[in-house]
Amino acid sequence: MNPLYIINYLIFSVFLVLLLLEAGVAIMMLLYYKEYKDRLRGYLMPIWEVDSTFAVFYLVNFEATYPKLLTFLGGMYIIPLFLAFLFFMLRNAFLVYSEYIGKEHKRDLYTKIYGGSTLVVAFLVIAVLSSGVSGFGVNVSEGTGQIVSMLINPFDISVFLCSILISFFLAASYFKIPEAKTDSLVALPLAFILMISALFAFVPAMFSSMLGLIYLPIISAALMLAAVAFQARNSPYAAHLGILWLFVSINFFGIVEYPNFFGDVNITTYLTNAAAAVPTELVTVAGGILIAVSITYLVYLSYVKREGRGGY
Amino acid sequence: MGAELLIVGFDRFLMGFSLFVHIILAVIGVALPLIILIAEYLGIKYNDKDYAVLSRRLMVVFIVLFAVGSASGILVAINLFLLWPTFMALVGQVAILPVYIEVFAFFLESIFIGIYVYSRNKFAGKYSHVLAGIPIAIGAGMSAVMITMLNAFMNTPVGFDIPTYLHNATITGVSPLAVFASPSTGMEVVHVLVTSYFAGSFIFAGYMAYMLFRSNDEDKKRYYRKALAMILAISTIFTFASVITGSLSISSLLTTQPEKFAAIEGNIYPQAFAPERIGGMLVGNTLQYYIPIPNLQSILATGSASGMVPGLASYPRDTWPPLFIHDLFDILVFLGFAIGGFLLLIMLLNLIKKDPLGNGKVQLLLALCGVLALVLVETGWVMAEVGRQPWIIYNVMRVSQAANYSASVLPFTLAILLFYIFIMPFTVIVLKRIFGERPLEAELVNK
Repeated sequence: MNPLYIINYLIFSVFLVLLLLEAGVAIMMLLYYKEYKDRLRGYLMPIWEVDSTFAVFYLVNFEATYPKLLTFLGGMYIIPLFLAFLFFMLRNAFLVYSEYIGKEHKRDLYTKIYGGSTLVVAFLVIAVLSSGVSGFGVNVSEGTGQIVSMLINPFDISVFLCSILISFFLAASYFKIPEAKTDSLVALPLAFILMISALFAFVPAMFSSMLGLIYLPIISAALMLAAVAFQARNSPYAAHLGILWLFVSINFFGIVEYPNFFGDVNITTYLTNAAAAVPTELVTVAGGILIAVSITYLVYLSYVKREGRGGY
Repeated sequence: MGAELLIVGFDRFLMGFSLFVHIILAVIGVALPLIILIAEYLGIKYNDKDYAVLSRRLMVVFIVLFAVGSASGILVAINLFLLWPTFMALVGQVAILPVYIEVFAFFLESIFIGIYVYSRNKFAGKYSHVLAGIPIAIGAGMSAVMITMLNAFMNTPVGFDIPTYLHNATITGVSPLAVFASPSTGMEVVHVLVTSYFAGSFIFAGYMAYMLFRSNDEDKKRYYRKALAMILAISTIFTFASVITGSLSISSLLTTQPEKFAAIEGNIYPQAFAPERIGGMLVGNTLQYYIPIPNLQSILATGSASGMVPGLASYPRDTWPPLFIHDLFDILVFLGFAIGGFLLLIMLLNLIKKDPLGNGKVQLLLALCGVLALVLVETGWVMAEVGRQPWIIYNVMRVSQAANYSASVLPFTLAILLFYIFIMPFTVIVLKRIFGERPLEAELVNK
């Protein structure tokens, strides 16, 4: 497996975990905002910027890894990506407005606009990703896309429902929302079955590859069941295990998918040249270390360090 | 062919409009962290709570604008590869590193904003919180540096075998690190950084001057007066630096982009003892009705009155940039010298203890300068980018070769336009509401 592919996919998996986590927060904000707003906002405020930045990180790493694909992607995904980024801007703007606006009813309204925008972004991004897996709605050789068949096809709808179920579980376990507990226990196994069924029905070639690497879905299923079991016992580790399961499963998905994207296009033919590959990866490693150190410091200050007496 | 031209026109318009708005947010994003940190530092050093209030209130502005600005920046990134896929395919293989490093600069800025804002009470050292803010300013500055490096690559492409690419569109001989040192990189980077600090700080100097003019309350007057003096000191340094780097960067075009230089100076024919032409109109193939300053152009560009400067007639007509950039250059020079002269006058009055900042007319003129500083930056950017036309990568790829010809672009032109029209005023309204709920009087009293 090409190391450029591995690094790009790892970044993608972190981005997708963050996106689904935030989609979960958005779902809970729409469903249980009044009851749990402090808990939900408490998570969002230090972290929301990191989510956005990871989206850019993935985008630019993608540009550096697959520059030859960009000529086609511009034509294929112009509509969903433009729409996604318009709603992404709404999401950013209204989250910050809600943070600093004083009137409670305005804050609630802005928060709901934020939640709705985030879910639309998630839907559009997942439509692009699922078409990258199945090839539905796009013609890579011609660089064209059909928005309707991209958004409304059984595979995309299955993947979106699956994502919503996963997001629901993660948010329910992370924020310990009692009203959502029972549903969350069903959500994760349902998501798992839905994903496997969708591959079987709509992307049979990938399903066959998965059978050749059968230990991967078995490990994934075991982790998923463990997360559900912890959630059933109200364990604080349920959310951590859920996130770990999602991260691992996305990467397993990448292993099974390699090297065929868009249904049957060999992705390695679009990789960047050898001269650019080495410095790109060096920057990824150096930048990754910088990010890791900075985020560790952020987490340390936010959750570990006690109050000091510096400044004013 | 007509439809394709129309779509390229829309592509250009959409990119130009997005960048036009984004530049406002970008220059504020570069300059504001510096202002905030200096205010906080002064507040602690002199135990002056006015500066403390200033840094806190500006931080709220910064966060709101950062949220909108980062989203707008992402939109610009998306625009780049959706509207100019062939361009980005080349950049991706040759010059992606600055764009990629910019992401990490952005990351650094984002994370440390989180630390600076949400962990204010976690620091023990007197200046620790200020130090925690420094990576924000570094991240913002590095973003500007990296994006300018990409722009410098567009002006003076390096890092691949250009003759081979021109022959058969194949990218060979890639040297990905060359993009960091193209012939125009150094000058462009310095000029962009300096002008960003100039315009970004002047916007706030102008605002403080206007609020000082409107204030009746003594506490508010004192607060705005201190804020104005502090920010204006920053603006003044970067105004003079902008004039110097601006002049040097125009001169550097002589060797790096002679057509752009010729169009900016209004030179149709190459000549020695060239005058600096102020104003003028193109009639046929000659610039007429201008005011000449004898030999000045040759002296500024080459250091000698007999120095030869290029003319557009030496180049094919279809590679000439639009000649209105000469008028933009006149506007730039006029505004630059007007603002610089006004600041010199203020400094002079200050030296002879005349208290210029206490004068209402000076305050209003400074408020006007805040707006003009933004006009200056936008004009300079339009001049620089239009001056490279018809090329997106100078002498390598024309804009028309880089464009996305999908008709899907058209409805989004309208959508993006509407979005920016909505988001910018709405951001201002929200900021006004936020500060309406946190009146300055209350913060100054409760300081």
